[in-house]
Formats: sequence, C-alpha cells, structure tokens
Amino acid sequence: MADQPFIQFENITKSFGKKVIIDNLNLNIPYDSIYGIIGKSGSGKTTLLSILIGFLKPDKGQVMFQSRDIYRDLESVQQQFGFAAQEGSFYPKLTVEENLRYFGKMYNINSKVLKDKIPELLKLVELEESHDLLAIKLSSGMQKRLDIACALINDPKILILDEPTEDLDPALRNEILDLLNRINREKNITIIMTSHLLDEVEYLCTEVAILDKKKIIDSGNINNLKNKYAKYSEIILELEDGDYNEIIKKLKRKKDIKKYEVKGNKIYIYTNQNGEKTLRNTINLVKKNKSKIVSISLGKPSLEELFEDLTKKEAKNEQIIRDNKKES
Amino acid sequence: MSKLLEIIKKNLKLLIRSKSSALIVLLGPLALMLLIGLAFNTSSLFDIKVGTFSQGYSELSNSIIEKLQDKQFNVIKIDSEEKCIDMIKTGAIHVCTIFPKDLTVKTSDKIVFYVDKSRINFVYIILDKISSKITTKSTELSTALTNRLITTINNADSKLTSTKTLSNELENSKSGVNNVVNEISNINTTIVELNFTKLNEGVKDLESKNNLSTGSWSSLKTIINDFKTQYDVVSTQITTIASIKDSTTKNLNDVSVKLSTNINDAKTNEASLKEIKDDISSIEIKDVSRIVSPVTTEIKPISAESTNLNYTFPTLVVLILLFAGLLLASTTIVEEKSSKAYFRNFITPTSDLVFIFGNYISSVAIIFAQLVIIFLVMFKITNSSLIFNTILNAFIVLILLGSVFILMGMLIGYMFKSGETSNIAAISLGSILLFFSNTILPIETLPASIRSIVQFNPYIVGEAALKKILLFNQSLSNVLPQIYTLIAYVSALFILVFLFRELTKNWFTNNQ
Repeated sequence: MADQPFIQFENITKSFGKKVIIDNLNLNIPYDSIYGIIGKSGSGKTTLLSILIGFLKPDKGQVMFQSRDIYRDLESVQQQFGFAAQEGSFYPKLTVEENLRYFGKMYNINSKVLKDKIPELLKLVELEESHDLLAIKLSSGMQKRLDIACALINDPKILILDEPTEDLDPALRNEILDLLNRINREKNITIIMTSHLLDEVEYLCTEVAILDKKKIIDSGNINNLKNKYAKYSEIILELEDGDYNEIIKKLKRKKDIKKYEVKGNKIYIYTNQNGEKTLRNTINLVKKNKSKIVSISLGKPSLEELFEDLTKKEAKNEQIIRDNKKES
Repeated sequence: MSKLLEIIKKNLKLLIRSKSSALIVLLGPLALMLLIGLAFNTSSLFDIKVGTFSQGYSELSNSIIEKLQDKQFNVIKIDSEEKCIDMIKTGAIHVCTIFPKDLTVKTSDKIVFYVDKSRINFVYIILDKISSKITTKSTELSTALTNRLITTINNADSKLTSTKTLSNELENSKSGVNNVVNEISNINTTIVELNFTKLNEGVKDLESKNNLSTGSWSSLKTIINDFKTQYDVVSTQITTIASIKDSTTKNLNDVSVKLSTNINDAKTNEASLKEIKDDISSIEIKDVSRIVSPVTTEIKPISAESTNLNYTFPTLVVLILLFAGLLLASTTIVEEKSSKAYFRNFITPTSDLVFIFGNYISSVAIIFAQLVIIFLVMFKITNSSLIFNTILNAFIVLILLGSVFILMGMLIGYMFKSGETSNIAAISLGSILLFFSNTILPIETLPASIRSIVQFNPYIVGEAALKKILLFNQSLSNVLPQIYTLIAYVSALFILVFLFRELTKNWFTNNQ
C-alpha cells in the first residue's frame, strides 16, 4: 500500500467552455493521510474534488483509485467515497436520522445494517440527542456534522471535504477539525480536504498539495515542504507593553534581518541567518530596552507564508516566461 | 426497489412537512370540489336580469313580460333602446328585449334581443330560456287563433250540409210554374158568338103570333135585353181574362226561364260548396294542439344525471388533474434540483431512472390521494351510486392521464431553473391544453387543420374517455383508442424526461 499511491491524478485537464480550470495536473495521495489541497479562490480546488468523486469528467487524463480508473467502475468506486460539499448536502426538511437513512439506502445499505450504523455515526458526530430534529433546525456546526455523517454513511475509504470549515466561527471550526482528526484516527479513513484557511490545514493535514495557476506547484509532507522552501527562520515575539518601535529601529540596522511585521500584539521577525543567534540577539535587545517579554518562539514560517512565497514565485516565473516569449 | 420506496417516502415527507404544499396538494382539491359541488349541484340559472323596452307596451308584450317574471328572471323596463343596450355593456342586465310598438298577433313585427356575445358560454343559455318562455306564450296565442279557425270551419261545414237541396227545390218550383202555365193554357177563353138578329126575329115572330100581354112582353124583352147586356159583360170579361191569361203565361214562362238559370247557378254553387265541403272533410287533423305543433319534440338525456355537477364532473376532474399534475410535478423537480441534497444524490451509486421513477410515483401517489378525496366528496354531494367497475375503469384512465400531466410537469421542472419560471411554464401549458379543449369552446369551432391536431390534446382524450366511463358506464374496451393514445404519451414523455434530466445534470455539474 505504501508503495502505490492510494489516489493518483494523471495528466488531468478540465475546461469549462474556453476557460481552462485544470491543466495537465498530476498528484498522488497516499493512504490514511489527511490530505489538504490548498489554493486561492477559483484555483480549481472544488473542480479537482468533483473530478475525484466522478461528478465531473476530466477532458483529459485519468483518476486512479487503488490503481483502478474510477470511471471504469464509477458506481463501485462511489460506494467507497464519502463527500461533504462546502454548503452541505442533505434535506433540511428531513430529520437527522431520516437523512442518514435515506442516503444509506441510496448507497444500497439495507435497513438492518442501517439500524446499527446510524446510532454509531450519530455518536461519532455527537448528534445522538438531535437524531429526531429536522436538519433545518440544527445549528450550522451541527449541520456540518450531519453532512459529514451523511458522507460517512457508506463506510467510505476516503472522505472528501470541500472547505469543511467555511462560514463557521472559530470554536465550531476547531470542533470540526477535531472530528475529522478523530474520523481519520478511529476509522482509518483517508481524508482529502480543500481549504483556503491555511492555518487549519497546517493544524490538521499531514500532507498538502498547493494548487495554483491550474496545476499543482508542489505537494508532500508540510514540514518537508517548509524545509524545502523556507529560506528564513521566524521569530515571534510578544512584549507586555506591545511597543515595538525601539526594537524596530534597532532591527533595521541588523543585516541578518530580512523583514519584520507587527501583527496584533506580536512582531514577526524573519532572518536568513542562524535563527538561534538572531533569537539570542533579539532577547538582548529587549532586555536593553527594559521591556518585559510575554512570549518568544523560533520556528519556520507558517504554511500561509510558504504558500504566499510559492505562489508569488510561480507568478514571477510565469511573467519571465511570458517576457521571454515576447522577446523571442 | 427499496431505493424507490425510500425516494417516495422522502418525497411524501417533504411534501407533508412543507405546510403550504401539503395544504395546496391535499386540501386544495377537497376545498375545490366542495365549492364546485355547492355551486354546480343544480341545473338552473338564477337572477338573470332581462331589460325590456318598447315604444308602446301592448297587452301581448305585457303578457310576455309577465311570463318572464319568475324566480329565474328579473325583468327591468328601461326607458330607451340605447340605454338598454348600454346596460348590457356595463353588465347591469344580461339581455335586452325590444318589443315592437303595440305588439299584437296581427302585426308581423319581430321581438329583438340584444346580447353580449362575449359571454359565449352564457348567452345562449339565457336566449334559450327566454325563447322558451316566449314560445310558450306564442303557442298559447296560436292555440286560441287556431281554435277559432277550426270552429268557423266546422260551422261552415254544417251549414253547407244544410243547403244542399236548394237546386232541387228550384226544380220543383220550376215544374210547378210549368204546370200552372199548362193549366192556364188549357183555359178556354173563346167567346161563342150569339146571333141576336135571329133572337130579335124570333121575338118579333113570337109577338106577332102570340097575343101576349104587354107586361109579359115587356118582361121578356127586359130579360132578353138583360141577357144581352150580361152577355156583353161576360164577353168583355172573357176577353180580359184571355188577355190576362196571355200575359200570365208569358210571365210564368219568364219565371220558368229564370228558374232554369237559377237552377244552373244553384247547381254551380252547390258544386262549389260541395268542393269546399269535401276540402273541409279532407282535413284529417282537427285537433288544435296538433295543428299548432304538428311536430312535437322531446329532448331526452342519454344519461340519467340530474345536475350540472354530474355532467361536468369528468371535465372538472380532468381540469384538477391537469393543474395539480403539472404544478405538483414541476414544483417537486425544481425543489429537488435546488435542494442542498441534489448534489449528494448525484454522487450516490443510484441510477437516474430510479430517481425519475421515484419522483413520478410520488406524484402519482399524491394525485391518487387527491382523486380519492375528489370522488368521495363528489359521492357525498351528489349521492351518486357508481358501481365498482366504473370507478376502477375511471381510475385507470385518470392515473394514465395524471401520468401524462405529471410527466409534462417533470419535463418542465427539468427544463426550468427556478420555481417561478417553472410555475409560469406549467400554468401556460395547462392553459393551452385547457383552451384547446371542449371546456371553453367546442373544438368543432376550430378550423379543420387545427382540429386534426387538437383532437390529440391529452386533455380532450382523457376527458372523452372519462365521460364515456362515468356518464355512460362504458367499459375499458370502448375507450381503448384513448387509452392507447395516453400510453403513447406516457412513453414518449418518459423518454423526454430522462433525456432532459441527463441534460440538466450536465448543466448542473458544469455550473457547480
């Protein structure tokens, strides 16, 4: 299993009319991972997922699931996929239990099996007490959980989620992320999700693919990607008085400091030198200023910063190619 | 199969939980039938306002107006013909009747009706009712006139019978006259000439031979002289008589000639009278009512229904089925398409046909429930007693017809994106089917080319089959052409629905 990709996108191209959404995309997704596909809005994340679940057919290329072309035997493949769309896909005027029963039947699950499976799923998504409530009466977090339960009704090997935490407040977002983690852990289900909220992808996913300009720029383990692309170390400093003016004046004189920015009560300092040396220097600066440190940490830049750098770099490369073409 | 049942269960639950839909679908037909039942459970017209105008109402026109005055008609006398016509335009009256001035049976003037022909379904009913009232009055008048005529003819007949011997009597008179003439002719008026010279000589001789006293001679002479005188008188009288006889004979002969002429005239008259009498005798029908209405008609209904509701019931059911089927199915499909769950249905390993069948059977189940309600209400209102077989046959046709409308509605549902547009499309299609049916105007009023197409309107096909079954108790074998037509519609529409679902599925996937 480890040798073969669980899911393989091979040279996938998809256009709507004249507009190319995905162009010759290749991607391998390993088994049992929580795989994040990140990209800007309109980058083709949802289209990619729609192709994966067989809802859309690519113009070119194929999608392999356990080395089988999914379009050759779509019905049996669909039986092993669960999908939760961005807006939720269930009947608001049916109860939680009725929704699960209905979709269970649509997946050819017989009533006896459903009788055991539904309470089990309700327990997993923590909706046991709301089983007889109409879906429309559930809170948005509960609706999202119901949608995930509907996606799990057929015991899928892969759970595919399109922006699962979109429109949820931070508390509900964490709730859903924990649930997904639990599903991956307890049920050994491979999770593929798209999101533009990169912090949650970083928090949840083990692997990630960066989708930009119709193709995957890079993919793999998040830490490996950071190590591969991150040129800087990141120091995050929080002072009690929140006044970083003196610090900034002194940082400007340091050659190893590439950039800095104040976000909220913290200052983010990036260095291309040895991060530990810069950290020590920074602590000394604070001490000289007689300020009080609330927290200070040294690490690699976040996925978000990595993503921004990568997509900018990609844009720059494209511009160079375009310019070269014009010149030639 | 379990998928199908689950889809149907889901659809019904969704329908029932949507209060407005449930109200429209389940209570709608019930309320509609109750209202229609109350409104149409009679065959009478009420409160028809008839305006009348005449420059001079006569006894006859007043008696006609009197005839019109009953529960159905409210007769209003109006000041002028123009005003009367205007009142039709404003809807204040339904018909304006203009009576000629001083209308009598002797005048040949016509009673004129002004009607609003735009109320095409109503105007002829009113005219029919008014005409029948006027015809009743007219028949009364005809009867009276004819009665007088017949009495006169009968009197003439009997009088002719009594005058038939006049020529014979004249003949008798003539022969009497002739007899008199003959008898008169036989009277001898010849005067015998007496020779008084010999008498005088005899007297002289006698006087000379006999010595008769002077007195005796004188008496004899007196006697002889008297005799002479008398003789002269008689001679004169006989001469007069002879003259009278001649003139009388002449007169009587004239009378006889005139009698002969009169006899001929009398005979000619008698022949004419005989002809008249024969003509009168040849009139076989002398019954007044038969003469007034020589051909009597009676309209007998071919079904024994007593109210308009019974007659209109098949049309009403088809009408309800038309709009319920179109709107219900199109709404169900559009709601399904716009539902959050539509997407998840697509990605389940479920065939499109299962979804189509599921939606179709759900709608059929609801329509079936509606039909049961409609039939129960109908039975309650009209106290009808249809036999089981008739109801079963009617339901077979109704389910087929309902399927046509449901599949049309599903097609609309797949063709249009929003509920509003699909509703407009469903109502428009329903209106077209309704307009080109017998409900508003008879299809016989349409040009032949259009009629040849319109006759395949499923509304007309279904209505015709249902009428045969419900009104005339005909079996399914008598409506096989209609059933085959409906089956053909169902098959064709099913294919179209499938194709459109595939098309809209592609559209949906490309627009997600």
